[in-house]
Amino acid sequence: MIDEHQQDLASEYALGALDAGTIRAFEAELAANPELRALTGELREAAAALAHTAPRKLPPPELRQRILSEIRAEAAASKPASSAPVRSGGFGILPWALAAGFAVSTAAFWYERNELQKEAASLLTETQDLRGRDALARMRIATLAAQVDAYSKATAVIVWDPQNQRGIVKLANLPRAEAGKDYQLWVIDPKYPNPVNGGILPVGEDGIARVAFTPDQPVKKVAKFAISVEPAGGVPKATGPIVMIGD
Amino acid sequence: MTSTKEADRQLDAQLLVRIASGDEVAFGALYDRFSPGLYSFILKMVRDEKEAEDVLQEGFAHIWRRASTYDPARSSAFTWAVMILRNKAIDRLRVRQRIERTMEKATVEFSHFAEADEVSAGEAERREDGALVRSALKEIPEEQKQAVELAFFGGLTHEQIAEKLGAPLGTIKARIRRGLLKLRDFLKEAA
Repeated sequence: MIDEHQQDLASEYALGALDAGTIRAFEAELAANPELRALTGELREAAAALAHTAPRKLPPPELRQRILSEIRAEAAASKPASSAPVRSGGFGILPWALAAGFAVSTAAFWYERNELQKEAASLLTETQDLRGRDALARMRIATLAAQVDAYSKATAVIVWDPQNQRGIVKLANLPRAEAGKDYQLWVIDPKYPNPVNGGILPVGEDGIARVAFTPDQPVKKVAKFAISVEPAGGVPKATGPIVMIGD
Repeated sequence: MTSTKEADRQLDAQLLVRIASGDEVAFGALYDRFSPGLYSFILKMVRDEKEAEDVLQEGFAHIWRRASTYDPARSSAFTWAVMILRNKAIDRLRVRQRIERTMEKATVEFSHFAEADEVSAGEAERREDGALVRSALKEIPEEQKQAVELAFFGGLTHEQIAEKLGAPLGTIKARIRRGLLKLRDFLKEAA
């Protein structure tokens, strides 16, 4: 049984509002009380969930590079001069493979992962020129969000290489496009008055697709990616409803 | 918890394991997943874009160095990251002696953010978690919500909140406790 005083302490602990001495005492109590530990964990999750309510604002794109440069400098400084360069571990030996791995949704994740491992060999050749660290840094990964309820379970992840003007879109759990319709990808660049055509996205019966694309026109700056439903075969200018969008 | 969220949690935890072994690709991936939410949240705390960028950079550098200390049994990776960046933001707020000004302006600032939230509501509702927590907050009495938000976003101690709101410390503790418990209950139920 957890009393109100313990609940107060758990709340303050979750909010980081306890002083150092009280933290030590409370953590000793936590170690001996699984129920209190569970409550504290839940309150901590609840407090952190408040972060989601902040008005959405994206960090400037150059900040990513700045942070990557900092951690690379740290990694280099802490490594013996003769050691091998840092390599990606786990299943994500390629940026494409890693990013594509984000097309996850529940069980599809593990399926996707296995599929990605199979694809790794061919991707290795395909993306040989992207293996350098600079290539990794310049990759942009976008996660698209559903605009309508019918797509709430769909996931769409796009990896975009601005230098080579090409990308890969990975889709999962997309409903089949109705007869006479196709999904079509659009790249929204403020430079152009209309979205740039990224091509149609053939989705299989299993709702999964992996499509490499090159936009119709040179893209200088991607503001957003969007997927709309268009007449079969695609159209040069977006007309249909946008079902997913994101950056 | 939905299976999608569970898969996301597993993925985030996997990324942190890889980051702990020095995997830069995993680090970049985690940055792409977390930085929009974390930056928005930190900006709401420090109310200065340049400072929010600095906090984000410090926070991610910390994540890079301390990824091996992450314990998935204690919290989700996102919660772990939120708490790291929140502490960095609070440090800055305190170091620069902004707490007093924040206290003075808090009421105005929070009403401002409430307006901004309304403006961006369409976007936020597309983000399941944001919409869910917003719904939960609507179910919480205003005085409890205010106390919880001042503690979380303002980085104020319970004593400072009591002083600011002119309420006894015990009352503030009770409001925060009840508010957090209700938020917890709502999120559990929704999951």
